[in-house]
Amino acid sequence: MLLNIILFELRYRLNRPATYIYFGILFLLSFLFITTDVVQIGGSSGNVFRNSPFTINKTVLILNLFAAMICSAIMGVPVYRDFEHRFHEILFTTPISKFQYLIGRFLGSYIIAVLVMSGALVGIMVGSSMPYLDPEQVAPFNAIYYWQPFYSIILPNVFFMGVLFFMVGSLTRNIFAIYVQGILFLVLYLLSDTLAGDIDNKLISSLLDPIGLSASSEITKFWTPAQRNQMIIPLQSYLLYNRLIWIGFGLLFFMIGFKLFSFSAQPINLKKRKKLGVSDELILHKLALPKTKQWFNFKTQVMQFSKIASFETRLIFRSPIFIIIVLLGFFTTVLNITGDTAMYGVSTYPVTVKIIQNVAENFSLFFIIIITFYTGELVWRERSNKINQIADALPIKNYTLMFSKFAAMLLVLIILNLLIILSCIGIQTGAGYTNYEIGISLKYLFIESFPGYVFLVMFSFFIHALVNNKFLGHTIVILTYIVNIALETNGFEHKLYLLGTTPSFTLSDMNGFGHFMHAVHWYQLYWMLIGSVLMVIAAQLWVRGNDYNFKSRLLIVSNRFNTKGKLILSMLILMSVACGSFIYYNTTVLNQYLPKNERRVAMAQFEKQYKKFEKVLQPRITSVNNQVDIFPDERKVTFKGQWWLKNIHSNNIDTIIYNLASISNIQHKKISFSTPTKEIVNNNYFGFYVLKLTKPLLPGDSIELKFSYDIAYYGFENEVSQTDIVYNGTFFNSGVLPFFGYNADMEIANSDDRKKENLPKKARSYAITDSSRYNNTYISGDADWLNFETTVSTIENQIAIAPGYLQKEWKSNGRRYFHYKMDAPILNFYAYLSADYQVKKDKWHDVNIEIYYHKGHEYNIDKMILSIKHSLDYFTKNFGPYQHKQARIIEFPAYASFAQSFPNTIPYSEDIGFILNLNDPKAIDVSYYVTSHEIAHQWWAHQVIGAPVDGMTVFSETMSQYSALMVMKKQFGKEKMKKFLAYELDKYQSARGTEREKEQALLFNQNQSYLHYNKGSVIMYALQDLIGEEKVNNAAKNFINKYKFKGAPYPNALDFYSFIKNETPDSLKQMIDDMFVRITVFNNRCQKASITETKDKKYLVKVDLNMQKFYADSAGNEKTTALNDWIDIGAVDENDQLLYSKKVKINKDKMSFEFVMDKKPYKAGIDPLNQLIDKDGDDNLIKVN
Amino acid sequence: MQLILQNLSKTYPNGTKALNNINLEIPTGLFGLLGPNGAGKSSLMRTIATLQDADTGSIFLDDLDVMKNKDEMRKFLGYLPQEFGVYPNISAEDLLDHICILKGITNSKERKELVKALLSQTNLYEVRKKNVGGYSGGMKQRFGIAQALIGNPKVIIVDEPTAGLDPAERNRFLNLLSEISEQVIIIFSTHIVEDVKELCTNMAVINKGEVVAKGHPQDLIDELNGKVFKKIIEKNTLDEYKNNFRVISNKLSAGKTEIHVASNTPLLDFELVNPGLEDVYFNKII
Repeated sequence: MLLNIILFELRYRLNRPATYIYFGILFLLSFLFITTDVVQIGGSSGNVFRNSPFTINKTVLILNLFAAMICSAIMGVPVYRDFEHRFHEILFTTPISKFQYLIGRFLGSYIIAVLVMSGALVGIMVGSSMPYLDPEQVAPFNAIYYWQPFYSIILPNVFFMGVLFFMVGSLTRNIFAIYVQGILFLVLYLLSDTLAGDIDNKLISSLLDPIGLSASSEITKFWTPAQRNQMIIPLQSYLLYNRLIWIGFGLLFFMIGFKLFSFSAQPINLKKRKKLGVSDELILHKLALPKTKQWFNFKTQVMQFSKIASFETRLIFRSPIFIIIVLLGFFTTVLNITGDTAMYGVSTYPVTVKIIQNVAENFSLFFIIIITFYTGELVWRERSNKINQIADALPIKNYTLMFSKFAAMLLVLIILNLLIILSCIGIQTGAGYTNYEIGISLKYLFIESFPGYVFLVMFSFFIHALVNNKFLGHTIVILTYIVNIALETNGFEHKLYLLGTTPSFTLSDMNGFGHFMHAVHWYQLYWMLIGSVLMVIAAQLWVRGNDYNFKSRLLIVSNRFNTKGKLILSMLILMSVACGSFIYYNTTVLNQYLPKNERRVAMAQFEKQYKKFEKVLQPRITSVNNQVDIFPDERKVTFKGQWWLKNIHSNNIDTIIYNLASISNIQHKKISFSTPTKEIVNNNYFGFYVLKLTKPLLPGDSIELKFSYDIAYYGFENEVSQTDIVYNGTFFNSGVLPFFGYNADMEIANSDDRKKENLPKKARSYAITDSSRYNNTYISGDADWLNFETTVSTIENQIAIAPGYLQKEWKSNGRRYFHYKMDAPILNFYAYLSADYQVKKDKWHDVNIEIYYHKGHEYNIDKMILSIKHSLDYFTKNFGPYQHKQARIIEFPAYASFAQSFPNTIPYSEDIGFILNLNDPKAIDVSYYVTSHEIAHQWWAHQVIGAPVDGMTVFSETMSQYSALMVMKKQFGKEKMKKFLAYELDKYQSARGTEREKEQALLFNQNQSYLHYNKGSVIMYALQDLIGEEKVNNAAKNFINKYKFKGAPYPNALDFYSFIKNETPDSLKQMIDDMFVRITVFNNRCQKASITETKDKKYLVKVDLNMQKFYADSAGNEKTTALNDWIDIGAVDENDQLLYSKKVKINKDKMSFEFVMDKKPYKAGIDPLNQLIDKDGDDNLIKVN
Repeated sequence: MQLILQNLSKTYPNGTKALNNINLEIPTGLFGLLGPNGAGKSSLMRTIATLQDADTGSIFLDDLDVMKNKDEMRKFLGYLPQEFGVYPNISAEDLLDHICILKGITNSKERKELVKALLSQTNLYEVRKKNVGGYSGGMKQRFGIAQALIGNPKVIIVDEPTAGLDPAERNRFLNLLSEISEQVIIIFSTHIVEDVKELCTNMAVINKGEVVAKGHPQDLIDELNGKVFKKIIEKNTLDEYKNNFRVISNKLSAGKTEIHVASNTPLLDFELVNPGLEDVYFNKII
C-alpha cells in the first residue's frame, strides 16, 4: 500500500512539466556556471578546476539554498492537491492509514525533490564535459566528487526543507502559504546569516545554518588550490554535527506535523469553502438573446489585440512558477548588490548608472528564463488548455492573435523593467542616496537593453511556430543560447551571427553612456530587423486549427502567404542585409575585427618574427617634448613630438627599431630623424619598424626625432574596446607614443596561450639573478630618467592635464591650451587627461595640492586632501624630500578601477575613491588609503624603481602599501589597522587558492597583486612591529638615498632586502626570512584563557596556546616546520581594544604563559592584532573565565 | 442560405481516409450528422469550422468560399467542439466577455447584456464569477453552448453535444437547438439515432468518411417501407442468419435475440415491421 502511494506520487510528478522545468532551471544554472562566466555562483577560478570537488560542493550548496522555493513548490503541494482535486473524499474512505498516507506522499515528493535538486549535479557533470572548455581548467570525471555533495548536502537539506514545507503545506492547505514559505525561508535564512555574521563562535554559527553553507566554508576557507582540487569536503566536525542536528529537526517537525494532521476534510484554519450550488438544469424555456452587432473593423482589431495582450499578461503574472522566478531574480539581484562592496567593506554610492546596470545585468538571466519559457507558453496557451478548437474558430486574424501575444510578452518585460527601476530606487534609498536619475534608468532599460530581449522573444516565437512542439521548441531555444556561447568561446565572436547579441557597454557617472551606444544601436536595429523577418515568417507558420503535420502546414502557409506578406518580407530582408553590411563595414573594414584566437596567432607571429631584434642595442630617450591636441567629441588626438635619443652604450648604433602600439588607429604618420635613415622593416600591421641610420650614432651622441600622427576612432567596433579617448574623461598614457626596441610587453603573457602557439614558457618577470635585465626599469624599456615638456590642448569646456607644471594657459580658435614642463627628470611614464573638471586647491607647505573632479563627486575630496598632507608629512620626514612642487589627483571614468601614480599626477578612477560611501565612521577610509598609497609612489617608483625581475614591485607597491599603512596608523590608530589588515590577510589567503601559476614568496613575487599588495601589507606591518617602525624607515631612507634617480643598473628586491636585513637584529633574521623569502603560514590558537584576581587588585591571566607553523610550496602543498618565533601574546577588552601585548618566544607547539594586567580583560590569547599569516585568525583569542 | 460541400476528401498522414468525396447541401434548419465513432463526423465538422483543410473539394456558404476565406467564415460561425478546456482561473463571465470581443461585439453595453442573457439562459448566472475550470460536466457543456451562441452565428456547429448529458437535459438541449434553427444552419453530430429522429429537418449518415445516406429523416424511413423484417431467434443461430440475410441489427429481448433484416423481397417466417430511423442508420452503416 505504502509503495503504491509512493509510486502514484512518482508517476504523477513525472508526468508534470513543472518537474522538468525545475530540474531544467537547476541544470541550466549550474551548466552555465561551469561553462561560462554568465552565472556567478562563486567557486572556481585560477588554478582551481571548474569542476573541482570544492567548486561542485559550493555550487550545489548555493543552488540548494536558492532552490528553497522550488523545494517548497514540490514538497508543499501533495496533500493540498488531494484536497483541491477532492481526492481526499475517496482517500479517507479507503483503509489507508494516516501514517501510510503522509509517509507515502512525503517520500514520493521527497524522491522527486531530490531528483530535481540533482539537476545541479547533472548540469555540472554535463557542463564539465563540454569540449570547448579549456582542458587545463577541468578535472577528469570522478564520481566521488558528485556523490559527496549528493549525500552530504542534497539528501539532508531536501529532507529538512522538505519536511518543513510538506508539513506547512499539509496543515494549512493554502496555496499561497505553499508558495510563500519557500521565499520566507530564503529571507529568514539570509537575515539570520547576516545576524550570525556577528557571532564570533564559529561552531555556533556553523551549526545554526540549516543549509550547511557556513559549516563547509568554515572547513574550506583557506584551502590552497591544490587542496581545493584534490580534497573531498569531509563529512566531519562542523559539517557532520550540522547535518545530524538538522536531520534531527526534520524528524521532529515530521512528528509534530504528523500529530497535528487530522485525517479529515478540514484543514487548519482555512476559510470555509462554498459549494457551487446550482441546479444542473438548463433553463431555456424560450431563447431570448439580445440583439448584438458584430463589427470587424480596425477598432475591433485594436480591441482584440489589447484584450488578448492584457489577458495573457495577467495569466503570466498569475502563474506561480513565474512568481517564483521573478522573486528569485529579485532576491538574488538585490542580495548581490547590497552585499557587493567595492573595497575593504566599503561600497560606492549607488549612483544610478552603476546600480541600474548592476541590477539589470544580475536580472538578465531571469529575463532569459522568463522569455524562453513564457514565449512557449504564449504560443501554446490555447492548446495547453485545450480551448484551441473554440479559440481557433473565432474571427480574429492570425497576425492580430500572434502580435497580441507578442505584445503580452513585451508588456511582461516592461512591467519587470519598471519593477527593476523600483528596486533600484529601493536600493538607493536604503543606502541614503536620493539622486535617482530615473531618466537614466529608463534609457538604460528601455533603449539600451530592451531590444536584445525583444529579439529573444521574436526568435522564440519563430522557433515555437516553426517546430510546433513545445518541448522541442524550448530545447531549440535553449540550445541556441548554448551554441551562442560555444561559438563565442571558440573564436566566432562577430555579433552579426551571434543571435541577438549587441556590444557590451560600461556606464560611468562621468561619461554617462559615452560612445558605446553608437555601436549598440546599430546592432539593435539589425536584430530588430532580423527579428521582424522571423516574426513575419512566424505569422505565416502560425498554427491554427488541427493540421499539425508539416506538409499540410506548408500548404496552408503557401495559401496564406500573399503578395503583401511577400513584399514586407523581402523589404525586411533587404533592410537587414543593408544594416548588416553597414555593421560589417564599420566593425571589420573601418575597425579591426580580431577574435581572441586570431589575436593570439597574430601576437605569436609578432614574437616569432621580431624577437630576434630584442637584443639590438637602442639609443635611450632622454628628452621628450610633445604637442598633443585632444578632440574629445571626435574621439581623436593628434600628436607631434620632438624627442632626443642618446647612445648610452659603448658601441655604435646603426639600427633604430620602433613600435607603435596603437597602429590600427594611427593615421597620417610622419616620422623622421636628424640623421637620414633607410627603412628595412616596415610592418604597418604590427606597427613594427626597423630603420638603418646612414651614419651610425656614436657612443655618447644624440639623435633628434620628430614625428606626428593622429589616433582616431572611426565607425564602431564589434566589441567596444577603446575607452581611452572619450567625450568626457579622456585618459591615456605614454603607451600610445613610439617605443624604441623590440617591445616584449606585446608578447603573449598567458601560459596556456603560449603553449597553444608553441612558444617557449615565459615567466611573468625575469629571474632575479638575470643581471642582463638590470639595465632597464620595469616601467619602460627604452629610457632612463628624461626631461619632459608638453603642450596639450582640448575643447573649451574641458581641462587637459599632463605631468609637469603649468607654464602657460591660453585660448585659441575656441580651444584651450596648456603648456606643462617638468623641472626634474622623470621616468618615461606619463599620462594625458581631459575632462570637464571642477578643481579644488589646497597647499602643504610650498606644495600645491589640486583635485580635479567631476561635478557632483565632492564626497571624499577633503579626505583625499587630508591624506595628501599627512602623507607628504610622513614621507618627507622619513624617506626624504618630495621631488615635485605639486600633487594632483585627477578623476577618470569607471572604465577602469584603479588609481595610478605618474610624476606629480595621479589619475584616479571615479569608482574607487570619488564615489565611495565613507559615511560610516567605522568604515575603512579607502580614499584616504588609496591616496596615501599613490602619493607614496612618488617615492616608491618615481624615485627608486626596480629592474624587471622577480620581486620588482616590492619596493614600489609593497613599500607604498607600507607607507600608506604608517600614515593610516598614525591617523586612525592600531585597532582600525587590525580591521584593515584583516581584509588584507583574508584577500591574500583567499587569492592563494586562485593562483593560476605559482605562488611566490613575497620578495620574489612576479607582479602578483595579492602578494605585493595584500600579503605585503600584512608582512610589512608585522615587520615594523617586530623590529620597529623607525628601523624600517631607516632601511627605506637609506635605500632611497642610495638609488634615487640613478640609472642602470637598477636595483632588485634582494638589494632592497639587504637594507631591511641590515636593520634587523640577528635573533629575528630567521623570522623575517620566513616573511619575505618563504611562504609561511601559522595556525595558532588559544586553547584556554583564565584569570585570577591578585591581592593588589590586578589580574593574573593564564593562556594555554597551541601553535603550528607550515612552509608551503608554490602549489600550496604545506609542510609542518619547527617553531622558533617571537609572537605576541595579549588581551583585549569588549570593544576589541588592545589592553596588553608582549612578544614571547614560541618554540613548542603547546605552551602556556602568564601575565599580569591592571584592567580585567575580555579575551586573551596569541597574536591579538592578527599580524601573522594565520589559517584561522578568529581562534587566536578566546573569552577568559 | 445554404452550405454546399463538394467533393471533400481528406487523408491523414497515417493513411486514414477521414473524408472521402463528401457532397452535401445543408439548408437552414437543424442538420443531423449521424455516424458511428470514427466515421469522420468530427473531421467534417472541423473542416466546416475552418480548423482543418480538406485535400480536395470545396465548401461554399452561399457565395462564400469557406476554405479560401476562413476569416470571413469565422464571423458567422458558432462552434462547440466535442471536448474542450478553458483557461486557468477565469470566470464564466470573463471568458464569455473575452470571446465576445474576439467575435467582434465591440459595443460594451451590448456585450454586457449578451453575456448576462447567455449566463442566465444557460443557468450559469449564479456561478458566473466562479472558475470555469471547476465546473461540473453539465455546467461546462452549457458554457460551451453559451459561447457558441455569441454573435448571432449563421452557422452553428456542435460536435456530439449530447454525449454525457442525461436524457432530460438532452431533450431540453435539442429543443433549444431546434428553436434557434429557424434562420440558421445548425449542424450537429451524434451517434445516437434518437437525437436526430424528431427534430432534424435534414440529416446525413456518414461511415468511414463517406456519406452513405442523406435527406429528410422521414424520406429515408419511407425508402425502407416494406423492406424491414424482424424475427425472434435463438442466440446461437445469429451467425447463420447473418450469413443468409442482411441482418441490420440485433438486440436481446426477453432472453431471445430479435433481429431486423432488410430485404427488397418479402421474407417468409419474418414479420414485416414499420422501419424506424434506427433501421435506416444500421442499414447504411452495416
